[in-house]
Amino acid sequence: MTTTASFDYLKKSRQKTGLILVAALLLLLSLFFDIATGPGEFSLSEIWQVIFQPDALGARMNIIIWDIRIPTALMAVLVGAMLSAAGAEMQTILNNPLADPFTLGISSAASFGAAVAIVVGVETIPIFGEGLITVSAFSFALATALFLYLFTRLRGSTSETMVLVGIALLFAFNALLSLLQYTATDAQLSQIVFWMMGSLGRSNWVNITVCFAVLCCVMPVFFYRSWALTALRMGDDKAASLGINVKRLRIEMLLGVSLLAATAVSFVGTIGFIGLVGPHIARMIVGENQRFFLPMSIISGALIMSLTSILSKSITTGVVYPVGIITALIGIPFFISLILTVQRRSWH
Amino acid sequence: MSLTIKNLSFSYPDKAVLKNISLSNLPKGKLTVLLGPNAAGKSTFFRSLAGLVDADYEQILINDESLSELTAAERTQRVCYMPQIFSTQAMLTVFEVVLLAQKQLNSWSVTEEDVQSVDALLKQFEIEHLAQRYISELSGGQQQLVSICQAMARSAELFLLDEPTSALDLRHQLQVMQRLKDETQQRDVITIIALHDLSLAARFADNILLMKDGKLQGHGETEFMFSSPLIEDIYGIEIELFRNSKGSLVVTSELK
Repeated sequence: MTTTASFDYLKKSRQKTGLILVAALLLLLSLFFDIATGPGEFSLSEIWQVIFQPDALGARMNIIIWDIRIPTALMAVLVGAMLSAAGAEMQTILNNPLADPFTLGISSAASFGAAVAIVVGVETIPIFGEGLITVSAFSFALATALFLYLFTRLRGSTSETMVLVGIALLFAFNALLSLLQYTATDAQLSQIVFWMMGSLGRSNWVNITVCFAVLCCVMPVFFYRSWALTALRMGDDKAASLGINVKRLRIEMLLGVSLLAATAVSFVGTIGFIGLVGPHIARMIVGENQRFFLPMSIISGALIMSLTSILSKSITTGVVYPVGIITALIGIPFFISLILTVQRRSWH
Repeated sequence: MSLTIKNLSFSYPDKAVLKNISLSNLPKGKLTVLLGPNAAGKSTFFRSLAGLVDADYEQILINDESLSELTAAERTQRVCYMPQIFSTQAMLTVFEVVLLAQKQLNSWSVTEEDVQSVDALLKQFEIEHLAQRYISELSGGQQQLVSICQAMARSAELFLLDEPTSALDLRHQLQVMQRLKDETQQRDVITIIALHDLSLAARFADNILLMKDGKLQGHGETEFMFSSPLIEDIYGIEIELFRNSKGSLVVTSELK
C-alpha cells in the first residue's frame, strides 16, 4: 500500500521528470528554428530536407546549413549547457546564489589570455593564428583555476576563502587587461573588444567536438556526485556527518567547473549571465535535488542560449549581434521580472 | 557493548578545547544527556567523535570496535552526528532531505522501500503533512523536527544529537525526548544528547555527563548526579530536585 507522503513524493518526482522532458523538447524545437533563422530565406521544409539529405538542394545550400547554420546553432546549445552546468555547481559549492562560472576570475583570465595573444600578434601566423587566441585564452583560464585549486588545498576550501580569492583574481586580471588595452594599437583594441563581447560566429565542427568532449568528460562526474552535492546544500557539517569529504568534493567540482567555463569562454568569448540565470530558472521549476536540478540547469541554459542566438539574428536582417550583448540586454529585465513574479524565496 | 574513550583531546592553534576526556563503558540502550555551560566544548566533543575535527585520542571503542581502525566510510555508518545549526536556505523538500539522510549516498537509485521507510519516519514525528514543503519555508521548530527525522533515518550505533529540542515548543520537547529514549532502547544504541534544559535532562536521561572548560567533570546516573553539588558548582546556580505527582523527576533552579 502506498501511503500519502511517499505517494506525493513519487508523483512529484514524475512531474519533475516530465518537466525536464518538456524542456528538452523545447530545446530541440529551438535548435531547429535557430538553424532555420538567418539571412537567405529558406522555407522550413527546405531546411528539414537539407538536414536529413545533405545534397538534396545543391552544394551552396549544403554549405550554408552544414558549415554555418548547424555549427552555430549547436555551439549555442553546447555553450549554454556548459555555462549553466558550471554555474549550477559553482552556486552549490560556494553556497552563493550570485556565483557563476566567472565569479572566480576564470573569464577575466580568459579575456586577458586572448588579449595577450592579440597584442603579441599571433593572428599574423598563418593557419594557426585564430586558434592560438583560443589556446591562449584557455591556458590563462585553466592556469587561474589551477592556482585557485592549489590555494584552496593549502589554505582550506571554505566557500568564503574561495569567493575572496576569486574576486581578487577578477580585479587583478581586469587591471592587467586594461593595461594591455591602454598600450594596444587601434586595430588590436577593436579586436580585443570584439572578442570580449562574446560571439558564436567562430563556431566550426572542431570547436563543437572539443566542447562536446569536455561536456562528456565532466558531466558524468557531476551526475555521479549529485547526492553529495544535494547534501552539501544542507550545510558543511551535515554533509560531513553523512560521510562526504566536503573539502575534496569542493575541489573536484572546482576543477570541473573551471574546465567547462574555460572551454566555453575560449571559444565564444565572455557570455555572462547564462551561468547565473540557467540554474536559477531550474531551481524555480524543480528545486535543488541535484538529480533534477542538474539536468534542468543544463537544458534551461542551452535553451536560453539557443533562443538568444535566434534573437541575435532576427533583430536586424543581415546583421548578427554579439550574443553576449543580447543575453545581458534582453535577459536581465526578463530575469528580474521572473524573480519578482516568483514569491518563493530560496535564499535569504 | 558500550562507548569507551581514553584521553580525547583537541586544540585549536591558540586554545585547547577538549582536555583529556576519558570515559569508560557508557552503556547502550540508555539515554545519556551531556550537560555543561556555554563554550564547555560539548559540540567539539561531538564533532571529534564524528570525525569532523581531527582530535587526538589514545583509544575510542564503539561496541568493542576501535575507531582508529575504521575507514571514514565505516565510521560514518556507525556514528550519526546531528549538528545544532541547520542550513535553512536550500530548496529541498522535507521528504528529499530525510531520504537523503537515509540513503547515505549509498546508491543513486531510490527504491520503493526507501520511500516507504521515509514515509514511516515522517509519520512517527507527525510531520508527514510537511513532506512536500521546502525546508526553507518551515519554522525553526519544524526544521528541527526534520533534522531529528534525518538522524533517526540513519542506522548508526552511536547517535550524537546537539540540542535537538532548542527550537521546539513544550509539547514537542516532551514528545521528541520520549521518542529518542524509546528509539535508544528499541534499537539498543548509544545516544548522547547535549541539552541546556536541566528539567528535560532530569526527566528523560538515564545517565548524565557533565562538561566544563573542555573537561569531563563527572558522570553517573541521573538522580545521583542531580543530588550531588557538582551541577550547582558548574553552572553557578542552586537547584532543587523533587518528584512530581506523576513520579517524574523535576528540577527547578535559582541564581546563587
